[in-house]
Amino acid sequence: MFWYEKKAEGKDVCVSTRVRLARNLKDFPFKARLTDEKAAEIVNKLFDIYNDQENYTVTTMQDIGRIDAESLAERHYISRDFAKSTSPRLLVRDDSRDIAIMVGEEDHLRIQCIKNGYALEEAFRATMEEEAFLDSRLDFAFSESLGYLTHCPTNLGTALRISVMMHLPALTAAGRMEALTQQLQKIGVTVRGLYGEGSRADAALYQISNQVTMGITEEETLRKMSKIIGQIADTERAMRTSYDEETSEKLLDRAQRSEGILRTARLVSSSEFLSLYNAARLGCMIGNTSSLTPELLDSLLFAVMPATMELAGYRDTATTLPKEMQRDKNRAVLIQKTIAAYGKGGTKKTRSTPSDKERKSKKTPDEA
Amino acid sequence: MKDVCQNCQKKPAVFYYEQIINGKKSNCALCADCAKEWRNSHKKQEDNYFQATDFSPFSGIDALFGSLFAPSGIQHYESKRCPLCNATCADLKRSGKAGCAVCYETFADELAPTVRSIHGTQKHTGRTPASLGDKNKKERRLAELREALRRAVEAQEYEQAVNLRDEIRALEKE
Repeated sequence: MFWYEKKAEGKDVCVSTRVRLARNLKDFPFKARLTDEKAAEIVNKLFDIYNDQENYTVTTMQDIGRIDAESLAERHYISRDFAKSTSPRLLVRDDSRDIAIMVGEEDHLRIQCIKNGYALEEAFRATMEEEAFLDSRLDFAFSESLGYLTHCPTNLGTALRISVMMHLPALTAAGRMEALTQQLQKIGVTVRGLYGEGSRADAALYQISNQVTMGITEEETLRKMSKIIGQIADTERAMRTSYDEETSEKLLDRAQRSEGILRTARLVSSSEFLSLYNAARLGCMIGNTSSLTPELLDSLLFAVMPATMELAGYRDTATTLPKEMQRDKNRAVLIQKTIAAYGKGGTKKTRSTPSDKERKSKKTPDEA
Repeated sequence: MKDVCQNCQKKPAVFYYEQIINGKKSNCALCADCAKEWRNSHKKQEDNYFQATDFSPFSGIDALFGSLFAPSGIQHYESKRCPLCNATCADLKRSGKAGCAVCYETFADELAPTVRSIHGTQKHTGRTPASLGDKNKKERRLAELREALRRAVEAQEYEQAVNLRDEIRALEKE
């Protein structure tokens, strides 16, 4: 089961929680000055550590296709850069704990835990646990004054990044995001609009992350972020409940119209999906009229991405339709099948996400 | 004969400094006015850097060494090289990233303002690798206790707060 299909808390405002640590190996140059041979050496080290461990899926990235890699990035298991890179890379996953380790990203190791909804404590614990496991087997680049040494000086210190993806339609509609962003910037917290800065308002999705990683302990960062996320969530919730009847009626109308389009349209572009998603998701929260849930809408958010759709079998078939239109048509079909399957007691008949092709590779990275 | 300023090629040189290019030492000489300009432009560019919001952490180094004398024909200052990865300061500036762990020692002085401007400090207080022993353990424990104390006071659990305060004091004395 993918992380975004699991049961979750705080779904009214939080889409996902991600905690990641960056680590580099002592005695190896960083990415920009690392030869492919040296990169392969690191990959081999990690392959040897994880290959015999139970529960882990080890994937040599060169062994999987471009679409598989892109889909992993779309579903936030890996970064876009990691998916595109051509140097030796390894992906290690333990889906039971939602752990993913990228070997050969900007830093030699990126240890991350991504969880559905709001799960800061759990994600933090799982990431630290994984780091401790690796710490006992590897020598990390570390300095007493600067902490963990990273490729980019912005990550020095704890090299810990905590990010929560939040859905904030009420704050966005009230035009308060800019002020909030500036306010948080002052206390070392970054707010980034997702799915294109220009189309911010489309999905009202934001990534809230800590910026400062030095002079603050891991636990302090966790406490600070959980406090800030809690405050943002409370403000958003308060705004949603303070709508007068007229505004609520208008928002619910928009939500139901959006649901109508999601259920019946023949063509749904990705930008249209984001605005339908936004309206419908807010509708779920302020009224009880919809059969859609934030869980379902969020899993669609990842399922309708181009590469993930293609992997799930929604390929461009031999039609004369322009490529884009065919994709929009596939998207509409996927959305409707997913909603229909979800309606039947929550058990999904149609799998909206690709079956994992990344099996445990028995080949060593050298052979690949 | 007195040296002539290498920048303006007119006035006598009064300000001397050493530069290392590709491991080779050479001497530079400037007149009083050019030296003053050098200092001012250095300061100005550094100030500009601190105001910049985009993430190009090493652009400050350019102000120190990069563009200064290039227009007047004086050789580009290339700084020292990192013994592990062979990177120069210019490499770090170009990529905005360190070449390896040793770069942080090699270019410690050059990087200090950058690190401070990003993080506001240069002192790591978080975890350490297990092999080095937990040197920050005491600080971390203190931070935990102070947080617990704050919460106890907030919740008006004064008896617990007093215990926590004593524990903090004892630990601080250690």
